[in-house]
Amino acid sequence: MSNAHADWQLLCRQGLEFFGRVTANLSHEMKNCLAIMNEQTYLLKELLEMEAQGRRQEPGRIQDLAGKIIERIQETDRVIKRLNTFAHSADEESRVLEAGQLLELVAQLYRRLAALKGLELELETPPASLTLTANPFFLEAALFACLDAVCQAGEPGRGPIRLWVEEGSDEVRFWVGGAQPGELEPGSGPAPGILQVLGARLESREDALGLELPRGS
Amino acid sequence: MRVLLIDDEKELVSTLCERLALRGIQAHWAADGQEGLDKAARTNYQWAVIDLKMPGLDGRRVIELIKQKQPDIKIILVSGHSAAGELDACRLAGADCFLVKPFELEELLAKLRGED
Repeated sequence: MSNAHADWQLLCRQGLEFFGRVTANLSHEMKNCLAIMNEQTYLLKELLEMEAQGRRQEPGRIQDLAGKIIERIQETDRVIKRLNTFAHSADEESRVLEAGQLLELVAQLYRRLAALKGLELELETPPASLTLTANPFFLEAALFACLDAVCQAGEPGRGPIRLWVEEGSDEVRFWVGGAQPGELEPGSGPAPGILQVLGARLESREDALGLELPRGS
Repeated sequence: MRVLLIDDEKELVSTLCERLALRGIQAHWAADGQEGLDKAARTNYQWAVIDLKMPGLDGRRVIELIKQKQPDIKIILVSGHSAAGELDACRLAGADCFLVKPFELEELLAKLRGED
């Protein structure tokens, strides 16, 4: 097997691993929403049946429950839209991307995993005019890996994990920070093959990981 | 029967508790592992229904700690999926049975009644 073929296979595997991790996470979010809606709908049915039998319920209880179900439906819809946006990021090898939108999507994809570690994400949204041309799927994979590395080093109670973007003349730098100095695992962050596809460079400050990319044409 | 439900999805556990209460079961809930351990230390529960993935103490650790204090408590572990390795790990940690989300209340009731 040639080196190029082996590199391609490795890149495919890394991409697939990222895809699997994100879809597993989103499907878990959907399952949670469904489990909650399931319980609330049955409770609503049971309370309505009791009401029909003449057992008056607390005023507003049924409306309150119906309102909660609607909120969960809307939440599930947001998760599905996120999944759809993510799935379409593999459609094109390269396109013009709004840095803020991309960072927000990655933060949303990772938010539950951060919450499981007791961490909060805080996003500084850059102006919509900040764009770059890149492979959306692999850029999401690289940012997700940066976020993962910083969150693995993060501890609850030390403040949020921050995500922000810096604009250079010909480049864009995405930053993920919040871990304490010296806590990032050596070699953590995106795989070299993914950085290569993006033409990106990994930067490391004592408390943050950064991804520098050319803005492209 | 006294049951303790531990899950970080507050809306899920509070609704489940309400449905169990309608059936005459004394059910309490906790939104994380530590709160669950505190409640278990104050009240003698026959059953604990514990979510596997939670911030802070995860389900496996909660089972270990709760069993140290109350060896007789029966445990139902709840998870979003049913990977075989995960099931084995949970049994080793001391769970008596397993439920996959989303589950029907009847499934939970059957386990609480020892019918399943």
